[in-house]
Amino acid sequence: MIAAQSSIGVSPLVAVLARVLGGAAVALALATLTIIGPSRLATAYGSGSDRLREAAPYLCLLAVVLLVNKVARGVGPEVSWALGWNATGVIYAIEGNFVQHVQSLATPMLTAVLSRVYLSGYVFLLTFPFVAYFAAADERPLKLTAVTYAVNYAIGLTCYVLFISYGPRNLLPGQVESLLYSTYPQTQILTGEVNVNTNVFPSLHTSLSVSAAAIAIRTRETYPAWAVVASVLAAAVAFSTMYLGIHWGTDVVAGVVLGVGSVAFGDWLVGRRSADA
Amino acid sequence: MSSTRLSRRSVLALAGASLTSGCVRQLESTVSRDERTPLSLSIKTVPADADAAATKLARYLATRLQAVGVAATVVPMSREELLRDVLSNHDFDIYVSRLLLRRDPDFLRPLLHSRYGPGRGWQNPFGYGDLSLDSLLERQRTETGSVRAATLAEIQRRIVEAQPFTPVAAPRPAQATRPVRVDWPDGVGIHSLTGYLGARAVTTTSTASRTESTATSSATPAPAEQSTPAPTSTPATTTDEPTAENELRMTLGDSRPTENLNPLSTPFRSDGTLLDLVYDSLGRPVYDRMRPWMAASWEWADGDETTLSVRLRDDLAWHDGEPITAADVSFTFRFISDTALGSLDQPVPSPRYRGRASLVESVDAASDREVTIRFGDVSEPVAARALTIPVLPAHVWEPFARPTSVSWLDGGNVTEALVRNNLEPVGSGPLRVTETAARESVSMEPFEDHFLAADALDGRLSRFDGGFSFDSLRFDVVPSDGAAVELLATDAVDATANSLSADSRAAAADEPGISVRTSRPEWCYHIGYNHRRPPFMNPRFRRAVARLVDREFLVDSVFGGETEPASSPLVATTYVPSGDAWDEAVSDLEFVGDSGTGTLDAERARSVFEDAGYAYSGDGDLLIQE
Repeated sequence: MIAAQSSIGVSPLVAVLARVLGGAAVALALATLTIIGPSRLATAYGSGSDRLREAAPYLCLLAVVLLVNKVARGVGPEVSWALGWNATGVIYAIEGNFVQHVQSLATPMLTAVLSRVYLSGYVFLLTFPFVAYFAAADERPLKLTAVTYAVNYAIGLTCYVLFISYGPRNLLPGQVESLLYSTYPQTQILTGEVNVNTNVFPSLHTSLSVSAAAIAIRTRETYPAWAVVASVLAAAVAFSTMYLGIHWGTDVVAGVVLGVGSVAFGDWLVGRRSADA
Repeated sequence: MSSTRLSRRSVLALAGASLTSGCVRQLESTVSRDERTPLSLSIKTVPADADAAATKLARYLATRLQAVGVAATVVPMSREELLRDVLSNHDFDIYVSRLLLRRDPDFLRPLLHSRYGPGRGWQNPFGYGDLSLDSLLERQRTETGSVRAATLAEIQRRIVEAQPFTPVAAPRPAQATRPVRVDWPDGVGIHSLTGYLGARAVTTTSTASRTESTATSSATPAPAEQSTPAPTSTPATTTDEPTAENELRMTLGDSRPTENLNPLSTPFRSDGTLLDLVYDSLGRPVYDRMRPWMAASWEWADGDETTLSVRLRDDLAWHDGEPITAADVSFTFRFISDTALGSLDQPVPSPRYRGRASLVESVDAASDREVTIRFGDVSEPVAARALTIPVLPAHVWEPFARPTSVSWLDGGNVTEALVRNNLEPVGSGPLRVTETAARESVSMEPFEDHFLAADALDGRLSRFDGGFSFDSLRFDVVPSDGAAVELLATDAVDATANSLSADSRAAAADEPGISVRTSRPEWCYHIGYNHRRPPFMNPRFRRAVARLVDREFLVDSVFGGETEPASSPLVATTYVPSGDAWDEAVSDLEFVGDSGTGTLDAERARSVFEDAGYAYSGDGDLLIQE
């Protein structure tokens, strides 16, 4: 999702992208070595193609959803404005200045850490399961991950098209600071390529992270360390979206519900198909 | 508001189904008597990414309204959607936005004249109507000198009194630039036609071997403040992307021009600077005086002060190579008054330029190069405003003088000409558009057949001799002011076209090698009321709202320093009155609270609304009668 579709043709974008992906790649390499381990990787290499074939339909589903996502994000805003359901005021009425209270914790150190969590940590959290479950003996978690992500995107995108909602930093300037973008302005050039600022409900950062963590907890027998890392990271990502002034508490709650619900749905789908087979 | 209205309607509808109409009337008078409901309203504005000051002002107003028992909600919208709702659909309660200030006060006439209430565009979007103000607005355009000043003073006094909208403040635009790379002309804003035409690349002494016209660039003194450490070798090497050798690179905060370059579009235009580069007009205000531009000269007819003979320059050409004739000029004025060119039952005027077009009675091509313009009863300086309408090529626009393909949706009174994107504009301006990428960039290059590039010019235009001096001009869309300053700091751009917010201005001033330039106010933040809806048609209500506004506090905390507090929309002109009558009118609307701190005296403010005839519920909600 971080793959920038097209650059605005200035080097800072490339630089930010390299830093974000670089951070995620380092984490990915480290986790592959420590959590999966070289021996498991070696054995997985032989049987990997079978697992891939098994999981192919699910991975294809995810690919299709991502493709639709990419197209729909172009026309989505126009449809949203035509529908004209602006949820920003409702969300603010529900939670008031909650995000402002979250930001009262702000320190430069915490901002630096959570900015990295939001950008690189998130990419790592979402990509590592594919490596880990490819290397695992059971193909079920791989299928589950693909389906769950697809459901997250499908429902999230539907909400994005249905509702217009601006984040706290856009409604409450001066009260809620846009911490990520005021500390690292160049990152907004990157996220501006990927996201539209009218799409904050629900938080897909939260929902996908929660999904990844929920599946990680399921596979704790195989990867006990990953269950811990993923849970902590998912919580940090969810928190960072509010701390950085990007999402409302309401978006995060909706994201948690969506994340958990998607795993439940994925479970049902993968279970049913396995039973059929 | 609407829910209660609906419920009353549905009750009546039910009743009507079973009762005779006489009974219904009886019932209606019973139902509607003393039906007062708590007031809830929305304040539409743009999100902080687009204009943090507007969002802050809207939030400020919302919290003060809440303090006096009005359930106010801020509704952030994209720039074009906000303009669509305010200017075309008239679907709003209150909005907060920028009002573009024109040099000549006649811009107030279309803004407030009741004749323009039902139309679209920046023509009385409020739906305000005051017949005596109408006649004053009509009168001032025929007057000159102190007589006009007196009329304008009376107009402003009435505006303050009736608050058709509430002006708040006019900030000085602030743009950041790297003086080591570009030298901008003095006395004008960077992001303006004269700014771009006067901009020169700075050839630093270390890299001076490039044979540019060093006469102009090295002669200009190094910028006074912000002198950077000496050895700044800044040839275009730092970017990894192949940039044109001598490109002027700007950041653009507003992505609308990347999606639409139609000079007739209302929702997609604001200051129109980009299109000023692409479309020429007969005259241009250059350093405060209207000068012949596409015109070689003009002359008022002897003894007939309403007829102007304009002679076009020779060898004018459109960007597509077609020659420009007087017929294009007469076509433009006809087209702007009716973009359907008579093909529909009713004329479909362009909402933009309607005020200016209304000054003109007729435009005739007297010959290939001569145009005769007949004005209505207007003074010369006001008439000159009509000369700034962009001249359009007839051969390009004529085919679009037809209803849109979705006429069943828009009611059939919108033409293709008003809504087309026009992303490959054919103008005759000093720059032509070479490429656009939606939400990303607009690129331009000098138009080599432009008269500035071709002719040797004399007089005031000689400073623009040779036209735009770079090989190309590129605008990159940035998501925020902060990102713009960041790009500038990494030398990825040369200057910001977007005016910086107070915070970014400070951040830019702290960066070495960047200087911030301010220019005179070009827009005024204001609070607009929809007079078509209760309770905003009541001047007492609007006056009470105006007394919630602490300009002094807002100038300090929201707009940041170099900002004029504005009680009058003519704040950027010399026509703001002085004297007791004016001071009294202004002080009658003094902030109800501790001026300069923004702290409202809620008790007193509520009593202001009570004095205006409004009552409060037991819960402290302000009640209105629908």
